[in-house]
Amino acid sequence: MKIRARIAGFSRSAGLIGLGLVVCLAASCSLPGKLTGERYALMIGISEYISPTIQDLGYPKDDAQDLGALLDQSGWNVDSSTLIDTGAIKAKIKTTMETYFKAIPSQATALIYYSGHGSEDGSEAYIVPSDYGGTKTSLISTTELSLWIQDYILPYTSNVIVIIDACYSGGFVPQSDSLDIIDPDYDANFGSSVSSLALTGLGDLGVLLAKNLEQSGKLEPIVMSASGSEELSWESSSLKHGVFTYYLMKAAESGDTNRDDYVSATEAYTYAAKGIDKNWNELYGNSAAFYPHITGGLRDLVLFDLH
Amino acid sequence: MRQNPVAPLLCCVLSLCFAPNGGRLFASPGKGLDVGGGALFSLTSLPQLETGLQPGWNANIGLGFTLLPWNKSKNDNEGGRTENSFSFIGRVQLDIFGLGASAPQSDGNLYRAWQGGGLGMLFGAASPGFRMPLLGLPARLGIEAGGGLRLTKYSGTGLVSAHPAVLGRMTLDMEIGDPLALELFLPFEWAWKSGGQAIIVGLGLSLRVL
Repeated sequence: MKIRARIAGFSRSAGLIGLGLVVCLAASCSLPGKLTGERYALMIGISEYISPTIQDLGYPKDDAQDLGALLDQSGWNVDSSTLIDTGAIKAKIKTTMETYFKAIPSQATALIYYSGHGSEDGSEAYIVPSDYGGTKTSLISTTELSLWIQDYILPYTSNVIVIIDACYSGGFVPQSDSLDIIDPDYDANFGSSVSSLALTGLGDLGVLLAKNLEQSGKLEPIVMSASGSEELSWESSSLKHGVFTYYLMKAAESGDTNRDDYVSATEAYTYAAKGIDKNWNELYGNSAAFYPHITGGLRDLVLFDLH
Repeated sequence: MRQNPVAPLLCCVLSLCFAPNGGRLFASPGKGLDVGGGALFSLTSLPQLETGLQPGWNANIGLGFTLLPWNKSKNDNEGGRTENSFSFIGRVQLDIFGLGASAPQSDGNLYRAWQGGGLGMLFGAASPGFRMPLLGLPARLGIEAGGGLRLTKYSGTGLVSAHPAVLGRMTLDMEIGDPLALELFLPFEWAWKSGGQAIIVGLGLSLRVL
């Protein structure tokens, strides 16, 4: 009887411990905790170019400063004054990236935002610094930006978000484990082509499985672009911003789809992409249609903390 | 010597559960089609991140079949159904599923929501038929394991990816009236996705046409 009582007691204890473990696991995994990690954003906005041969833009400076203000309200440490307009020359962008992110705490979240002209040459995409002098070397290519991120940010943190609001900026977005079925020169209603997505995926199943195998699980930067690698990105005098940045900022108000008081980079991307498709692409049609892109991978990062 | 009061009760339940006589028990059909769904959650992890919990759902349609009766039944030659014996079973299933984003970790990292579909093939064993205690319904237990391929899309994006998975399934079939059975199932999936892992478990209910 004693043995049985002990066994019964043990079973009850084990059951309670098991139940406790499950509850603790579920609670620790599912309840959104407060963000304790620090976040640092470097904003680049170039409305005014040094060379008179390059047409100035209307709103990149406002894009960088207004999105910077929104991030600031959301708990980010923001620099939105160093790399603005003619101050954002190529050499200064490089040195500022080097010094700014060197000073951040380990594993803080780092964000680089760029709004301005973009370019491409068929093999690479480029962002156009304010001192662009007509040569390819005075641009910042995808290769260069990747190297700068690798050298100046990744040694300190793997939590990196890159946002580029520029023409052809899809060229900066690696697809990682996925195939991006949104055309780099978007001209169809993405929302209505869900069945074609499945077919595309099935047709490329072998490629997709191979891409999945190649992944090491290393945390890569989350990159989002305003447009595809073969299309223009637009600004609007009625929105007084780049169209993508306008809807990205709106995502801070309305993009929290799962209502957890955090807007992740993917949630913000989705809100901006749908906003552009519904409000811009439908209005202006295929000639001015564009669609944002984002990197693949399992990991996401909080962009706006609404608490 | 004091008699254990639980023993007679246990004997009674066991004899009710595995009674080989007393009428027809669970019919182990040659094949059966089932449609069902349920809730699930994924414990998702990447090497450099903490594990995250992603809640989700699953719906599936499956074709189950009996491969081989373990024991010859006296009813083998009576209508093609094997009763009250262990059997090897198999199953082909088509799933659709969705997983929500995990809650953010303190450093701001979280796991993305994803959705998709997949095809799986499982093999296993089913218990002899027995009567469900209390309900009195003919029932049987099953356990199956196998593999599958998943085609997924990160929710809200155009990013399509694919990954392999080990699949498992524990079932309790209850015959609610010829030819229908209600099946309570515990699905299990171990997926290798994007350099990380997702261990998915859940609970579901399906209706099986025997």
